[in-house]
Amino acid sequence: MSNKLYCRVFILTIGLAVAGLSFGQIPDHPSKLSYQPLKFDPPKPADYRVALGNGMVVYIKEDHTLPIFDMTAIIRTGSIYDPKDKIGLAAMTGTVLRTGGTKNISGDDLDEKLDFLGASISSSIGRTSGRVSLSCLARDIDEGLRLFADVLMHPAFEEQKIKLYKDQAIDAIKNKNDNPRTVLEREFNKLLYGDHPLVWEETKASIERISQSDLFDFHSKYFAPNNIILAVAGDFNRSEMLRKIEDAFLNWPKKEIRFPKVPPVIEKNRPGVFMIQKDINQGYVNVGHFGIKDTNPDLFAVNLMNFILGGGSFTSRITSKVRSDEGLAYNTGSRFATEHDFPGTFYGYVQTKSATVHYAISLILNEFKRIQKELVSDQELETAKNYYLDSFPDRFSSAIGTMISFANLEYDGFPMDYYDTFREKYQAVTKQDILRVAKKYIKPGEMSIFVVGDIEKCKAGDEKHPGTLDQLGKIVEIKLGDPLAGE
Amino acid sequence: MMRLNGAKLFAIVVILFLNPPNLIFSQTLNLEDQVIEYTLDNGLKLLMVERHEVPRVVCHIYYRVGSVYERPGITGISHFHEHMMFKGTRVMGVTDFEKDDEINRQIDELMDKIYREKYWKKDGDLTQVKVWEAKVDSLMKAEKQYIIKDDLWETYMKNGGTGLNASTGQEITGYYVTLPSNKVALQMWLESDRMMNPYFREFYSEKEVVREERRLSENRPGYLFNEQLNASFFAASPYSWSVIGWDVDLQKLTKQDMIDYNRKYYVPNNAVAVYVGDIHPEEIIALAKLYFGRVPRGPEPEPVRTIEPKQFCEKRLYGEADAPPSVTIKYHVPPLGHPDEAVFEVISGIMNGNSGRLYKKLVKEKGIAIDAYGYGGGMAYAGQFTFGGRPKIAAGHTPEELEQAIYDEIELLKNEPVSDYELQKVKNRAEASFIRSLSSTYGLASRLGRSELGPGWRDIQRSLERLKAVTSDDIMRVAKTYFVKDNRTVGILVRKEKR
Repeated sequence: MSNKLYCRVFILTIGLAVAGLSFGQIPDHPSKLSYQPLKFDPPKPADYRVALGNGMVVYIKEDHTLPIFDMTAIIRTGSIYDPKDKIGLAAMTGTVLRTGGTKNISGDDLDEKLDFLGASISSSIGRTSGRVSLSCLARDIDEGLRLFADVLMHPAFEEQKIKLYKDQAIDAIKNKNDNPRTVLEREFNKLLYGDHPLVWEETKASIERISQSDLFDFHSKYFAPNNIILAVAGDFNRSEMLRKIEDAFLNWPKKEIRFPKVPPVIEKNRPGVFMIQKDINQGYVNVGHFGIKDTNPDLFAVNLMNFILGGGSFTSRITSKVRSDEGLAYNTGSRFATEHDFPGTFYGYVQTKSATVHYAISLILNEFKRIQKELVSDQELETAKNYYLDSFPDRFSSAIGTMISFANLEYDGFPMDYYDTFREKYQAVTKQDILRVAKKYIKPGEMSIFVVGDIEKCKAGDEKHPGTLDQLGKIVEIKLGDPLAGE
Repeated sequence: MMRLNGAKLFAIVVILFLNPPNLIFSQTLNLEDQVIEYTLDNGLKLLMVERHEVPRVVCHIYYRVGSVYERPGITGISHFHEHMMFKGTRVMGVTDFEKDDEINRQIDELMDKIYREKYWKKDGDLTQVKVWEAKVDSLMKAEKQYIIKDDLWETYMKNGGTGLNASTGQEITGYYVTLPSNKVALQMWLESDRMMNPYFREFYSEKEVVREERRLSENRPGYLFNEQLNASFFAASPYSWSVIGWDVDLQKLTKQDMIDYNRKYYVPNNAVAVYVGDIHPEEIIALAKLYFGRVPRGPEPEPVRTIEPKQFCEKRLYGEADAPPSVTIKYHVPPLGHPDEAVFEVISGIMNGNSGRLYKKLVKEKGIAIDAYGYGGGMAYAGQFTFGGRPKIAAGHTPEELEQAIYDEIELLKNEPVSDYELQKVKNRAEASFIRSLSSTYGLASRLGRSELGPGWRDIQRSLERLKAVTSDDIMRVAKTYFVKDNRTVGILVRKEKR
């Protein structure tokens, strides 16, 4: 190897001279570096899409880099369809689908078999979708696919594994007030969304009410080939693989799926200062209100605006001010969190020692106001755009990742030319657009200021930066209830 | 013309080992065929792997430095140093270096006086301190006009840098960025600048950021107990403190401590640069010679001196926190490179996973635990193997009961040969996970760089071969040798009673 390399290095010097690269000179500043142009055309979803006879849609790509195989089924379902007295049903179905075995193999034997192959099948159901994934070596494709299809079509939901799941779920409920960060996210969302399936919390009672037949019902309601998009990639021959997939799901009939009606989210912001007492040395803070849906045509402008405001890590204004300038926090910034088909949230966040909670919040509020008043600079906009445009190919760096992102596009109902137009959409955003969306989607007068921390110490502030939390709004203390009871 | 020949030659080699006719896969995946290595005159090692799926390059640089190279009094300095490397250099992050430097000298002088008064004296003059602090404040304000905020970060980002980050561990510090493949020179420019022209601007405000980071950790359920447990387990070796360091040390760290530490460890001969992605190694080498080649070699840093002495009695800790009850059992094992290294990996494999012994017996069969694990092995200068889990309190099971159940499993390891099937399962899993680990360019870069600064990157594959050679006799012998009472530290954590 080293011999060959030596030879290639020698060749290179000539090659580069021919190519006209200016080696041998280091510019005194990185802004003076020049780069060869780079061309990249995103792959097109249509080239990888196949619709099977039973209604299943498959995105499939051959990839011979390594002898491995990956597939993910995305199922249109979610915990938003949980019945109110059985909150936790979707999540339980999602997990026990895999752990609870199938009609043909017990859960324990499935664990053994997959482990012996060095393979894995995992399954879960989140708020607005379900996933089942397989990862195995290419030599085990047939066995892997057979087990994967079996799990999807014929789960057994063994009673013993339901019990195991319930024990673990109830244990998790018991611990869910331990971590201030998760408490903040949960309670902030509950404050905004109110009594909505998106933020429903499972309780000991709701978990215990769920029976095996509920799991079977939930599965038979949503698991059907016409309700699944499959993403597949790995070391195989494409047409042969498609045939295998077709065979694996051959006897699985199409069916009509009836989705329960999910109530709309009532977008009512809740201004004020909300606090939860916790005996810790920092205040964990979110400052915000309702945001946007991911289908909002302003999304591109909003992303750029938020990048400049607090989403672009160290380059963003909030991080620069709160962390870098003042040394007040390790974590700070802002976020537009989107949930498909539902309005998301917008918030600034910071975790800082109790004494500087008020000061840090006031700095974040200042940045909210500033971006609504002044045009951003050319340089800020350029950095934000370049970041999105130049890093764009990252999205396609793995074959299975690319197939999953295509499957997600279809699942969420985005146009299939989404990636073709992606760059133009970012390019088209102007400074005036940034100002417009900042004015439209940030509402300084409607901020919920949510703090989890040691209330008295957070209220007191510090002498260096006078000011107290009640100057920001009326303080409402929220009591953390017994998580097991969900009150 | 000639370059084309070179490229062709390499392409043929690639095709040969990726599409082998009917070979067992393990023979086809030879890391040595994929990694190209080159060492610059100043000692900086380059590792390169070509992956041409998308026009992006994962660029990582690793230094052999971390918390074990610290000493009491300066704990946390490696991690703090990582933060400082983002605060600019003599070139980056500043509009007028001379003026900025002049202000910084005044700030440092005052801060040294303040530290002496505050931390060295029992009854320091705090009124005087206030006066100096006010001066420092105004100097810091004056400095702002010369600072370009987060210049390095912004330069990376506006050039499409993703995965932008750094991390500090016990032995290794890494700086990461993924760039468009036509912009590798940017990484070389910025990283060689950081190596050559460090300047610890905004030292004192960044120290507060690090202290906030430590507070964040402290607020994680059970963190403080685990930190104490670790500190008790290691009596002498520097693995006893956490990477973030003790807050009392952070408070007192000086700018001079940072400069001295930097000179010692952040030298090209103590580093490796890794490039995985759409690259041509010849170009990377030529660029590296140009950019990194200008950085002078430093003295070879001394390895850690203190080796953990033998423990002669069991240690036990009991703690309370806002966290679920748990038990942790730590045993001392040898550092990396010891012949028993592979045996510990196999034991980890036997114990963990959905079908591993601990989950299968304690969680699924006996139902006394919510979860249970047993993993570990060597680090550069010491080793630990940790068993543990969380008892199912709701069903009346205690941490002590779970502890005993884990001991029962350990006794089985000592006295009953592991079946061929179980052994084969572990070996299959290890091989599959080795292959899978090559699929992520980011993961591959990280693994190569970290291994290179430890046993060498070739050891990644050799360790797999060693693991395949482990027998059931090895497991019994190793379990009997290390998993004994006098060699362990046990921590039992219970939920804090509400006051």
